[in-house]
Amino acid sequence: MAVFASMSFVLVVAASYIAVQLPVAARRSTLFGYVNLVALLVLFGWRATVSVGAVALLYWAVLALLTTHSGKRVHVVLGRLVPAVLYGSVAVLFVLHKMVLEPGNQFSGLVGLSELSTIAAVPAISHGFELLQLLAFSYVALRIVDAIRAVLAGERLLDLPAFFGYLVPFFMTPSGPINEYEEHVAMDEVVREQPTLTSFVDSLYLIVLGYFLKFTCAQSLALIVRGLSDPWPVGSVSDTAIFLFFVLMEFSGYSLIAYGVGQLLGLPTPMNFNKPWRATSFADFWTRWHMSLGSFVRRTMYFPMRISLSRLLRPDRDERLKIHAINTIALLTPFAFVGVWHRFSVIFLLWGLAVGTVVALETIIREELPRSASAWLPNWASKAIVPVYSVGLVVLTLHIAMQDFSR
Amino acid sequence: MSEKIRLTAKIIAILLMLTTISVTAGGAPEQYVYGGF
Repeated sequence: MAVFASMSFVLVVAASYIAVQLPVAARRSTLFGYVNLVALLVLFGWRATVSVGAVALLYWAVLALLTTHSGKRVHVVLGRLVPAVLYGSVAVLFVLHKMVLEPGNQFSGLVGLSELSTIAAVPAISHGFELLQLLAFSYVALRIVDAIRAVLAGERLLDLPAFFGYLVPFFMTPSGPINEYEEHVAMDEVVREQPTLTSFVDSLYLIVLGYFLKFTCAQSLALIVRGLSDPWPVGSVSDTAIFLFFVLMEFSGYSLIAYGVGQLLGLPTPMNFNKPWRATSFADFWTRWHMSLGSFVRRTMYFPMRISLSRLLRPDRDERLKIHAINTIALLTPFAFVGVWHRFSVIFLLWGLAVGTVVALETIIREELPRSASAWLPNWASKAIVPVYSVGLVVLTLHIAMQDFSR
Repeated sequence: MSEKIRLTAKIIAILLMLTTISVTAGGAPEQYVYGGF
């Protein structure tokens, strides 16, 4: 996360801003791919760049092979096997990376994972994943999944430099957001607008606001609450509420820096926060908080799982229990994943499941009650109570996971 | 609000925030600048 705090980052952004304006006869995604490669080498060094480049090359080569043969008759078993192998391989890489990052995790004794834990302890592998972690591999892994999903669904495969630029954009390495593959491809179809003073100042404002939120507001709060190096206090619910406020400032700060740089360079970069304190329900909170992760799990897990289960179980319109069971399973899976993606521990898995359960319950109540709960209240009372309920419930569920942060 | 006033306000806000950042985070210990959750 230190990269944003270095002068090199500012200079690299300035140089990239000039470089992407160059009148070269190349696709925008390709030009950015080359600019990004230089940026990664300058900011993270050749070892980390080559390590993540090797991963990108591997997946690009397999996808290139698949798209080359997409017009030909592929054996039906092979057609189903390839996506499973691709997604499975990303899962294995992700777990190995977690094993290296969190060696004392509570899953390393489980069947299957204990073998991965042993592999992760091999010095060469451990060192390789430490290099990948410099570029936040947990985000890179999600982008690989998104690229596989999109390309297998028929989206154009970017050329290798552009593909690398999509997977590891230098300004999204510290803390995301998770950009969508289709949006990255689509920028090639749009002519880049000429930079103006207005667009420059607007982008710069977002970047500086991000720095202000992270390095002045969030860090000042952290300094007051925990001092320079003490762990975050986790004893009471109010500690958790303050922590949530800290994360909001810090994470939205990081996200605004990335969003502003994306605007400056003319690259599709999603917003990560949309006034979560104005959430109209607990579920709505999670569509306003870390929005790019929510969007990612919806398109890669929730919708595919809901569609598959609906096709398998074929519920009638009046089979409400079956419909709700399908929706609940489809909700619990991505939330469980989000839990262990944040931290590879049982507590975070439980946190994810708890959040998913409340979202599922809210869905059932909303669909089964003749009127929504807020409709029973006067408008002013609803406006006052609903955000308190939504954010309060977020704090309570987060309190489950907070004990893990103190470790 | 005209475009010129909006831009001027944003430039002033940028300068104010940069000044505050340099006062609060400039030259601070590494843990203070880099610390995260």
